[in-house]
Amino acid sequence: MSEFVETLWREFAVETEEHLHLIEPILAGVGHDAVSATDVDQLFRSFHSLKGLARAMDLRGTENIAHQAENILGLVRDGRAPLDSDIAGLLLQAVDALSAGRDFAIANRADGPAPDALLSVLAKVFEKLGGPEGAGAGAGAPAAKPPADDDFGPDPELLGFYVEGMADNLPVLAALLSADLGDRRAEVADAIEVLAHGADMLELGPLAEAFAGLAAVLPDAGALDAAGRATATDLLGQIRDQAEILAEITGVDAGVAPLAAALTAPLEDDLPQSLDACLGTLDDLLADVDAGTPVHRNLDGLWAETERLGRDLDNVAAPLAASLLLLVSDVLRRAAREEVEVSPALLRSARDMLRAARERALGTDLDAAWCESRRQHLREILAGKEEDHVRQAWKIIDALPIRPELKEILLPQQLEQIATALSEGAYLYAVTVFPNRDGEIGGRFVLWLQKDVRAVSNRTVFEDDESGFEFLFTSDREPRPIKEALDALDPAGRCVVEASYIGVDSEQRLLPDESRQAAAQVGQGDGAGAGSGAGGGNEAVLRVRASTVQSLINEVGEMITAMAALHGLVTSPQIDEALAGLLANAKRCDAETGTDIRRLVHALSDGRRAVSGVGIDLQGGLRRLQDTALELRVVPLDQLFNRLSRGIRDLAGQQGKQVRMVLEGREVRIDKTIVESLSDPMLHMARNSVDHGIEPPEDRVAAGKPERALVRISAIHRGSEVRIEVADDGRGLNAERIRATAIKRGIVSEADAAALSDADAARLIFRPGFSTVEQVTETSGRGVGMDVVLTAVQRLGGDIDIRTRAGQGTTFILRLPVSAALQTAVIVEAGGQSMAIPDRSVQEVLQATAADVREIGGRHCITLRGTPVAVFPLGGLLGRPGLWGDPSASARLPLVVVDSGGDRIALQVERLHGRRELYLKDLHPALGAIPGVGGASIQGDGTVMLVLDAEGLVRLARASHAGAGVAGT
Amino acid sequence: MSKNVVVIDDSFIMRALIKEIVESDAELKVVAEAENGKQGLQMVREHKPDIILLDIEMPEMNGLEMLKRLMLMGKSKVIVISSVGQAGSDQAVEARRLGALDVIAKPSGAMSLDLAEKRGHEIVTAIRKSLVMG
Repeated sequence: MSEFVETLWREFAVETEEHLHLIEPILAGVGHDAVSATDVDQLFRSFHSLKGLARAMDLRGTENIAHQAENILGLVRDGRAPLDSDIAGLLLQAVDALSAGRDFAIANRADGPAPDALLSVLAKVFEKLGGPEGAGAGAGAPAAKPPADDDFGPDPELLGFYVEGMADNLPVLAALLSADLGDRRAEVADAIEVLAHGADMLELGPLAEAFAGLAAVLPDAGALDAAGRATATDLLGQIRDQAEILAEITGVDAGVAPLAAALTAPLEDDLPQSLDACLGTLDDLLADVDAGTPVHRNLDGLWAETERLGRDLDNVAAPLAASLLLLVSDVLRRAAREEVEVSPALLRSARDMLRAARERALGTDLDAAWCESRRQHLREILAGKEEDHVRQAWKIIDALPIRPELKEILLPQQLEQIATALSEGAYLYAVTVFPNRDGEIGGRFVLWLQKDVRAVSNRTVFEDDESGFEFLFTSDREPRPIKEALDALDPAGRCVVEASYIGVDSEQRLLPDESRQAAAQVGQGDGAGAGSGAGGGNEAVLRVRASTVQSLINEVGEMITAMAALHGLVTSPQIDEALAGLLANAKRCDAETGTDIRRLVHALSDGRRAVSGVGIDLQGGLRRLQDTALELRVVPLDQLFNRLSRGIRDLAGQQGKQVRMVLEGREVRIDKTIVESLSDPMLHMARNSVDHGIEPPEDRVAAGKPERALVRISAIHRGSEVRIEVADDGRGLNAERIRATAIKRGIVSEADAAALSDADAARLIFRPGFSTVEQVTETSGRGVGMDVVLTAVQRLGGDIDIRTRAGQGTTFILRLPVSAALQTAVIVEAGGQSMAIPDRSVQEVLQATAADVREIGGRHCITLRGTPVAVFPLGGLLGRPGLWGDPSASARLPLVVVDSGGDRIALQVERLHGRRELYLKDLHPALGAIPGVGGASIQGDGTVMLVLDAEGLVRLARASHAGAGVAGT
Repeated sequence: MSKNVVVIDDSFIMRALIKEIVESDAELKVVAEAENGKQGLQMVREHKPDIILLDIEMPEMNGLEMLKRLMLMGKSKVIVISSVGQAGSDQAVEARRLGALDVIAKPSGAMSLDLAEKRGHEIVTAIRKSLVMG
């Protein structure tokens, strides 16, 4: 189970972080960004969730802050208060406090110190803005809401009619309890029938049953007999309770008052006797408790009886006495299962209450204030007894000069342990040890700690990246022998750097003393443990620097590459050839030298197989390690999506456009660094969709489209790739206009533009210096072009495709690697050198022959499923001279068809080495300048393999046929 | 045959914890969860559970409001698990008055997550007892 609790803390950390991330940008934007109702809702919900999360982990202080913030936002949401920069500032302070509380809680598994000043400011502001009226009842006051909103089963309108019917008929039922029904019998019978029928129809089962029960005891004439009267009283009491609830739910008066009044009059005659019996049992219990006999087994009968009597009293509208009995019943019930301690004080308090109820049964009215004071008294006993020993222990420990960091992580049982030890005359000590500085001394110290003293608690302390421990322990031995023992353990003070005796009102430093001052200099002062909030060794969430994770991922990546290389070496054909050669000559050699070469060769190849097997196991293990390492950086897209949808809604609002957002796949996970660097470009793209793509409502209606536009952002995970689509149903990209603009801006020549397919023309928007809208808008046209977006995506190892249809909308398709570091690549050899082509840009790999290549318009092409694709020698493209200049001359042509945003070319290579997973390194600036090269990967043998960039290759190909363009799809 | 349980609590962590506890008994299954009384009523109508585990302090519709409505609809078996459900609290007494079969306190204080260890058995026992009782 504790593992599960660990999971909860982890989830707590993650969920709270997400909410804090959601809140902050909205609040920070107050004053310059418009805050929509959706934002306010979001704020309210997030604070509410934070409150719930804090409560779930029992962080009362943190919960309180969130609660106060939620209160204020409740007023804002209801339009009773503005969300101005003052309030936003205050709420941001609350966010900071929540953040701090959260961090403290995660490190210490307990609530941090409450920021009382902030809490009181929040409370004051809340009061000033609109006060708590309405808010206190808000959570559960359905009467204030329209019944339709209530979600209670029956049709709200019919329910209203029924309650009106109750108002007519319930007063009639009061006659049942009168001395003589007289001529009202028929009227009562009618009322019962009407109400029973309605309850039945509305499926109010218990009410229907109660009315049926009444009908059964209704006498033909005269009055109810004693038994009938008891039953009727019971049933009418239930009916009254249910009618009250119905009145509350519907907001319609159920006319309960006359019935309630009729019920107050008679108390059952045997009530005082029943209560006397209970009091007798209670007295017996008291005697048992005083005598030290366990009693909880004898409580069952008593609590059940007091509850029954309480319900009776409640039925006859003696609420004060009833509430006392029900309270006693609840407490005794809990005592029966040992949830609360059965103390004499508790039983005496219960006896007081039973006596008061008996007074009431005998006809004396009770005083409300007196009852409340009795209830309060009982609660105090409960609260006191429950935690008395812990509180006592706290009192003692609080007074001790224990370092706060150590004090805060003490658990209740540890508190008690200390308190008990001190009360028995033991001494309390603190000692700081760095056991790793000298293994032998460290080991001796740990043994001593286990055998000679009683360790209570410890926390980790850090000093110059070295970790040590601060222990709290108790011992019967006085400070002097303890100091001597420590001195004997570690005479030079190498590991044991500090020790103190913690006296009742002062701390006495034992070590380092003057003689050891020099040796222990590093361990001086309270700063020894500063910065180690996560103490006690039970941290749920480890905050790790991104660079640490990155270097872990890099290391694992290189190990995998090395492992693959090792595997390649072990299974290499050269070894096969060598072994085969040996075998072939075995007979002759054996004869000449008298050895058994064949046996040796078999031994070698068995050994090789075993090594290969171990290699495969290792590869599996490394792969799992890799998955885990990558997982460290992978986060859900949720946050990014929220930001996008906010951006879109805000902009649409400003431009008077109506947009419906559909977000799909927010759970898809992707590398955190990608999310971060994607955030701005994607926001820009999303806003572009609204700004340029979506028509004003009137244009949409004129075009026969729904007034409200649809923007769909979706993400799916495919293998090591994530595909994010931003689709709108707007006017679509206008290829003609794009061509015209591109020509005007000098991006393409008129001839080139004309040669471009519409799809290719659409891609012109990714060229630097392009902007389609003549009138530069405040939002999309702030100088950031789509070229920046494309560059950002490509830098992450991704690519963007556009699909657009005039009048029907545009879809941007982003393909991104799940992890920024991991890439599957096709390894090829060109110009005598191995190179990698990222798999995501490889469309297919094929072995063509010279006969497949034809010349079309001065270019070498092959036909792929009916479409001509230009063939380029890869080495030639990269500027390497060589024999493969003319593809048609070679007999066999290994080809790799790459695709960059719709442009396809076939790269002719010398050899194909299959697919491999590579870890991309940031390029050396000098390498980055080489066109067509997108990155590098370090191989197992330490050599660098270039990773090619399809986009760059296509550009190179385009340049090599200047003016002729490239075959497109 | 396993018995169906609906868990209503606004804290997803609590729901997860309670689900874990409940399903530690092979014969109990959490068939639905809700984060407030309104959703809870829908879930109860939809799933007709054998047992309802209900928190008190929740947004939208709190546990006591939901309990009132449940009691109008019929005899549901409800066990209240709430941090305001400690012995002798007004809410505990009211929940019992409204017909809750049992009220179990979520413990408070720094040791709260002992819920699983300390109260887990109690919760399962309470459910089993409630299933037997009419």
